[in-house]
Amino acid sequence: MLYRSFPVLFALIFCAGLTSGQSFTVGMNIGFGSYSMQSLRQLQEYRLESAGLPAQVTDNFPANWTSGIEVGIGFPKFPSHLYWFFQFSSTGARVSSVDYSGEMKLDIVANALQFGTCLEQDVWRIKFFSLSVSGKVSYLVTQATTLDYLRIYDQGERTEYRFSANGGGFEPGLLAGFNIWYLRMGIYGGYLFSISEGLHLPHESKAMLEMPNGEKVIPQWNGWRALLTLDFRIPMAKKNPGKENTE
Amino acid sequence: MTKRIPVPLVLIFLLAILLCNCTYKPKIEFDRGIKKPDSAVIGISLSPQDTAYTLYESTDLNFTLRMFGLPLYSVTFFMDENKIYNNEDTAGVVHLDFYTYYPGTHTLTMVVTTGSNSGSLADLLHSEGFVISKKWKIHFLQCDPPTACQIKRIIDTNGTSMITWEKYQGVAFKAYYIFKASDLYGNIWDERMIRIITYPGDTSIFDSTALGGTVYYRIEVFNSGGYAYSNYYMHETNKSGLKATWTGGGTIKFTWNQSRFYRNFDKYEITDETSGKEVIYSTDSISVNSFIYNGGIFGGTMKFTIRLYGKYPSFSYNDDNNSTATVNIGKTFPAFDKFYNTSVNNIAYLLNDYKLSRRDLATGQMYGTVDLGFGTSWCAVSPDDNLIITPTFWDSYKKIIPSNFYHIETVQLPVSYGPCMETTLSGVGSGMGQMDMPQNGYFIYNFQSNAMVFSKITTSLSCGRISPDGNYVITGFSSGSPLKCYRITNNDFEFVWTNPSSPCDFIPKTNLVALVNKTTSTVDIRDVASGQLAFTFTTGSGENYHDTDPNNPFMLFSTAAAWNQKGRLSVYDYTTGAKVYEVYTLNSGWAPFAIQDATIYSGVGFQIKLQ
Repeated sequence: MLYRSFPVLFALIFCAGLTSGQSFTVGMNIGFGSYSMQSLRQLQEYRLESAGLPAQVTDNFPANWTSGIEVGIGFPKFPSHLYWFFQFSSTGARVSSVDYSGEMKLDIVANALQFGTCLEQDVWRIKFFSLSVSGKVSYLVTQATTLDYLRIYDQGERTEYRFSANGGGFEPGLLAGFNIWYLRMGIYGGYLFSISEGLHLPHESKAMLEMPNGEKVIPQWNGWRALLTLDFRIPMAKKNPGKENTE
Repeated sequence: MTKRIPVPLVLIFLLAILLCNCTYKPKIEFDRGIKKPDSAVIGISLSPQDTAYTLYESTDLNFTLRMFGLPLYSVTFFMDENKIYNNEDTAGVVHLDFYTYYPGTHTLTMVVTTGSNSGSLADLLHSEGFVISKKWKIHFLQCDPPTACQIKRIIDTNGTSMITWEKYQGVAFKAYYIFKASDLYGNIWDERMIRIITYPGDTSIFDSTALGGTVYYRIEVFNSGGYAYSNYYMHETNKSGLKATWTGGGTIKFTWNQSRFYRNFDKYEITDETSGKEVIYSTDSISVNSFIYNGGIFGGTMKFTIRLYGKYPSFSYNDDNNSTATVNIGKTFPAFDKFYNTSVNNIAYLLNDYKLSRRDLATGQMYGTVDLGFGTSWCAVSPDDNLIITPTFWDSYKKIIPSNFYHIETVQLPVSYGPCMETTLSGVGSGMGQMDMPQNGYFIYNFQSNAMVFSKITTSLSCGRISPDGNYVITGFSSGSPLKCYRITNNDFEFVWTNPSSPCDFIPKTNLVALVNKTTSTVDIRDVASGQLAFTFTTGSGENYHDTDPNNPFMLFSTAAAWNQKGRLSVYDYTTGAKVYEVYTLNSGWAPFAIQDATIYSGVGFQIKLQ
């Protein structure tokens, strides 16, 4: 129910912004994110044990690149900035074994697609520099792919399964910006708190991925985010175009 | 605005699409660093072991693999192109079927599939290994039936027969089968196989089931082409071979062939068929082959049967293996030195080794034995079996009343006359006897009443004998003097007659007296009362007289000079002088003979029945 309310909330806020906003902003970010993924790590351990072959965990959901785009509206007071964003994060894990006779891989690649809105408030501004706090609320879709691959000499076997899960996240953050002309370049740091349902087949929500003890496998994207941001701020001329140069 | 906004927007969305394709890609791999093995060794053991096989029959080939740590996936045998065996065990049996592949030469191929034991992924998943193969040539040839192996000989040794036959000389030997059959009225029957020999070099067996009788053996020899059997070999042995030998008295000695078949037989039993199959002997095992039995019937004929009892089932026996023996038991007493018979109920006394035993002549039953004491060499028995005396030294004698046989009474003589000579007791119930004292005189004494009848101190009379009726006494010196016969009267004796010839032995009989002249080998029979010569008969040369009961009509003479020498034994009827019997004794000489009715008893273990 919560997930379905996001588009409505997004539409309402967008309409309010169009009527009272001062500038129109588009931006992008890129950086690193860390991902706890406890449940998926346990899944990999189980896959390692049940493989019955000598193998090791060679990748285990490391911190990885994350990037996003945003579209928003700037306001003179509160909030300083309201925008809607799309953030993409990806990480993965691997259990592998290789020798002269063949190879075995047990991979998981998990992607997070976040759609959300962010309220940002400048708490300090002096000339070209500003410091803002923000809070992001997002609708989070996880897409995970498992791969079982075994090759003995020239005979190989590959099995892939795709799973998905819906969830949400809240990410408080702090942004230090450098404002010049229509641009704002910033350094963002935040921490994402996420919740999610269990992974299941994309169109079979009851076909859950579970551990042998019955626990659902839940993607956990909790973790720090460190981003470089770049925003274009385009003044809305119809309201007060003369003030664009003074801000 | 319309000129500035699209450019960054387009760039941003293109960037977003690009980023969405930059999903995480795991790249690290765990290389285990295992090297690929190039060779493997396994061991193959076959039984029978050979590099090529020439077979005359279907054969089972036993194989064993030594894997040296390699896991075995499969063992497969092919005869030419046909799979004939497949398994996953390191040992097994491959059947080479003669009839499927005969005749010709074929290739037997063994293919062993193993793991590599390298530890690689392929090895762990049983997708990697070694394939090892080996080939043998198999020649299937037809084999002709064998030539019969005849039995060469059968040797018996105390219950065991050793059967030896010719050795099989051909190929593809399989076995010797040894058959044994019994004999039923000259026909072969009940043939059964008793042994299988599977080694051609073993050409003899020991048959410890041989219990005697007629048996038949034959040998069947088998090879891959068939079989052939020998002729029957008839073998005859005694069965258990029971032998019963009378050894004197009531003693019978049994001997028999001892079975060696310990596994199947438990014991022997000997039964007395005469007394209604009474078991007289049962052994604890079959390791014995003789037995002494003391229950023989005196003078009877007895029949005994020995049976061999089986272990399985317990206490079973087969009468086919029985053996029966019949034995005649004579009227022979144990060895004796002196024999005294009486006229009462066949009662006789045997003196041997200073012991006097009282026996029944008809049944051999011994009524008792008394010890007369060391040095006692003779005694006197009254014909009516009422008194027995034996002299002691100088002035006493021992007295036994048969009704109180074990009581010996020593009686003091009224005077001391020196050592007593041989004494006879005469007359029924009179107890009259005489004793001579060569140095001092002569007396007649009533031993029944312990009373002196007559005595005379004289050196002219000795060696007296009283007639059975107690009325006459004949005396005479042992050499030089003629015999004189006196009539015994009241406390005196009256000369009646004298014998003109001398020297001689004299034997008072009832109303007659026999005078034996060893020099002329003649016997004069005279009337004891008148001395008139009745008749004279001649004995054999060198024959010596043996004392007999005065009432006995027979006289015994023997030529043997010593007790243990062979000699002629003659029996004469003293009332007619006729020789009624003559036999050469085997192991005995003069020593003691006695005659009772028509039976001669010998002190050395036999008896002769006169006809």
